[in-house]
Amino acid sequence: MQNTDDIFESLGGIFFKNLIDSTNEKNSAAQTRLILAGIALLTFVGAEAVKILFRNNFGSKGINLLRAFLCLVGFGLISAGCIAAWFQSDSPDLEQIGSPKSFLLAGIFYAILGIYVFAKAIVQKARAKDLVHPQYRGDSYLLSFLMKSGWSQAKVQNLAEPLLTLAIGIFLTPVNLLWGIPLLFCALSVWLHQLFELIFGVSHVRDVLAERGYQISRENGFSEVKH
Amino acid sequence: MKTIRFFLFILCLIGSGLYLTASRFELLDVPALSRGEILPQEEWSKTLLGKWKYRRVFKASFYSWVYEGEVEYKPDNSFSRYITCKYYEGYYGKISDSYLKIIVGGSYSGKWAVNDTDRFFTEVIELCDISVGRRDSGYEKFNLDFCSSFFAPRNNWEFGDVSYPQSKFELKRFDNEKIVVKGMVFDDGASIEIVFDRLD
Repeated sequence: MQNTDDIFESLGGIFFKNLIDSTNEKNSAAQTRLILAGIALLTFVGAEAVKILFRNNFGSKGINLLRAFLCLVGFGLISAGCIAAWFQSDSPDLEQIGSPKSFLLAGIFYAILGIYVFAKAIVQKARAKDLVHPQYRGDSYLLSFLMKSGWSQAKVQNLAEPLLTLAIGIFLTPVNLLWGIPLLFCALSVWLHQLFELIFGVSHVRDVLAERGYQISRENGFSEVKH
Repeated sequence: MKTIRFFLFILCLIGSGLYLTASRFELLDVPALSRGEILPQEEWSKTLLGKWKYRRVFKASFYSWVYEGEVEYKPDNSFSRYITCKYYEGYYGKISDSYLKIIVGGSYSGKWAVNDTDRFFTEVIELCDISVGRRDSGYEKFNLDFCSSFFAPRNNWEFGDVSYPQSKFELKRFDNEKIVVKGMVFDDGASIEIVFDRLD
């Protein structure tokens, strides 16, 4: 069973190796591998953003600061793009993407989101307890009302959180493509990420931990769950 | 109960998002919400009155012309326009100062009218005062006497659905806030976008 961080690091290795190889224009295989590795890396980053946004209490190894930093960079770039588009808003081409005000709002939204995700990651890392199992995905606090209605934490994390992100993304896409599409990507990233975990045999452990971690935290705080 | 409310909320978000997307990109027969509309031609004369910001972008494979300025359509059917024309030489769509080679600018005026039958309005030029502001070396052969070519007195400029042997234009939007015309110039393989934005 491979750790998610190991998979992320191997993908990073593949990405940078092919980044060098793809400078040779004739090496189209390296370019394809580069794009695929880049997309795979981005799915990790997108999934990390959803995770940090919706959850708390990840444990010292449950948060990857590099991925959180990449969230900040990614959302920062989207924000900068939106603000730049707002300055160029008299262009008819940009009007197809969204109205001038929507560019400004999307820029502010992603700037706040990027800073919030990264700041929360740092705070959570500082407060983390070593007792939490490294594969534990965190307490779903934002949609905890669903668990009170009988949902399991694994179901909330696997379905409800990405579904809500997807719905918000679908709602914002017609307002501004640059506002909605990154959120759609983040939601789909969670499911793709789960697919990776399933392939590498981590998924079941995480689901079990999500269940037990939640139950134990109600009574005794966290303790490492053996599996 | 909270679960039902949550899923209703999700359904509302997805439903309205899909409806707005369909409307925006005209996928369904629903009214377009963000593209604006084309007002009935009877209302054009009233709508045109006032000051507009004007921008015309001509993009060919290796060069671009950008005309920018201000135009005022007056109730007595006269108009006056201030204009700066910039010529950029670079691959398709490169419009930045590093590609700027020529600047020509000034003003022209004349009479405007809305066509009775076809969907366009016309400017007929009467007076022109345009001079060369900047010309990089190597561009001496360009005919920059715009007052005897593009903006020569008695020349017609038509904005709307118009076709010529070498070019075709289509009106995309005409309302109180914005007028948009897009077209192609076939002998140059160029695209043209003309945008009027209301100023007052």
